[in-house]
Amino acid sequence: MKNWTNNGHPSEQALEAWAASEAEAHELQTIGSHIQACPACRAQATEWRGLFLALSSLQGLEPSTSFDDRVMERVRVPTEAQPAVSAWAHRVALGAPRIAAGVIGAWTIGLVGAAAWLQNRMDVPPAALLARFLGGVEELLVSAAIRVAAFLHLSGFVGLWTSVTDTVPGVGLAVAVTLMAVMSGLAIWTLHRVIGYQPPRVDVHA
Amino acid sequence: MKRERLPNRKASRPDSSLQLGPGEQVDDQELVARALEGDESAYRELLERFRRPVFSIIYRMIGDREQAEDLAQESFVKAFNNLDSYKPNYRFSSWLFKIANNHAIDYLRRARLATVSIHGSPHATDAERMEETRIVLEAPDESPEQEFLALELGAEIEDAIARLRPDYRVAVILRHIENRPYEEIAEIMEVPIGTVKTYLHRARAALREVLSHLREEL
Repeated sequence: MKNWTNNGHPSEQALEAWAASEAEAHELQTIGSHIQACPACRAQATEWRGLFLALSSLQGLEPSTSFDDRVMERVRVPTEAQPAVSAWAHRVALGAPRIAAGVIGAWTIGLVGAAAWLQNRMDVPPAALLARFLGGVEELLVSAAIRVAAFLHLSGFVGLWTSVTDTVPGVGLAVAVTLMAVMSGLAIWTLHRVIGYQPPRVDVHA
Repeated sequence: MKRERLPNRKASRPDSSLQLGPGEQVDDQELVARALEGDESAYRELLERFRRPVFSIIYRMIGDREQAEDLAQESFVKAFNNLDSYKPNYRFSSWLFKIANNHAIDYLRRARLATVSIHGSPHATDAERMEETRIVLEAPDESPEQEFLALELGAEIEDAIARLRPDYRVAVILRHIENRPYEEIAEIMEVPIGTVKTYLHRARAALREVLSHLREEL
């Protein structure tokens, strides 16, 4: 917004913002000082002030007294014996930022504490320790990705899920979960036998 | 003759955090969670908080009391029956007002009404029906002269708002009657904040014209 015209007067929008008190404090003060000294701007500002005064006098309107009852007659209130699953989802969503902050905080404290303890015990340079740690994390992530991909491929996860839930909805969900638990166990056992994967070890003296 | 009585006080904005009892405060999000668990009193509390602004917005948008009540009811029923689709990272009031605004805009589109009149329903077939459906202003506790001026000004400004374009009208109602911040108005109207500011500036300029005309007459 351009606050001042080339003639040295506040722009119309600036006068509007001043009357609505919607500008920064120092701008309000500068425009206010000008208005005190300039009759033309004062007349315009008075009109704007009149408008905002009139708008602020407008009142809210109430519907008829039976409004609430007529709405509630048509609302499907979930029964208290079977609260909606979405209510739990809603509560989890409400608390999610706090839970995430807590987990991240605990993780950070644990990590920094462990690193400090390791460095103190084994006299390892911090840079080497960090490099080892990042290397380990990368290796873990890569191995996890390989495991997930292999699991999805070997267990036929998507196809199984779709066919079971499509054919037997409701009960099918429990059947699918059970079958997938068995299949995932088999897949992990197979991976262990075929790939022989072992978790990475950090050699702090390397 | 049926007349609507308006109290002579500025309508307060619904609280996002209402004092229910000693030390107990429940915000809108918590009420939504309780409603989803089947607590009927939570629905009624949400109605208590938002009944007036929702009805007020729709009434001023369409200018017909009966239709406004129907549309306000539809808005609440739609919102309450779809509470599980409400995302708690948004303000509940924005979500509800957006539903109400969409209902009002759809109605205006169907009825092909760009502007409305405070003098009665556009569907009124006779003078009596016109009288029943008009917005009636009241300014008690003032001297007769002050009362006349206040009523004249109030009627003029209501009439001028009713003649604004629907998008300008809803911006003015939300900003100046419901005291909503620019960010929330932008969310409700689904336009950028800059567009809201433009709508408001143009709407205010038009309303200022009306007031200056009234001042000249008086």
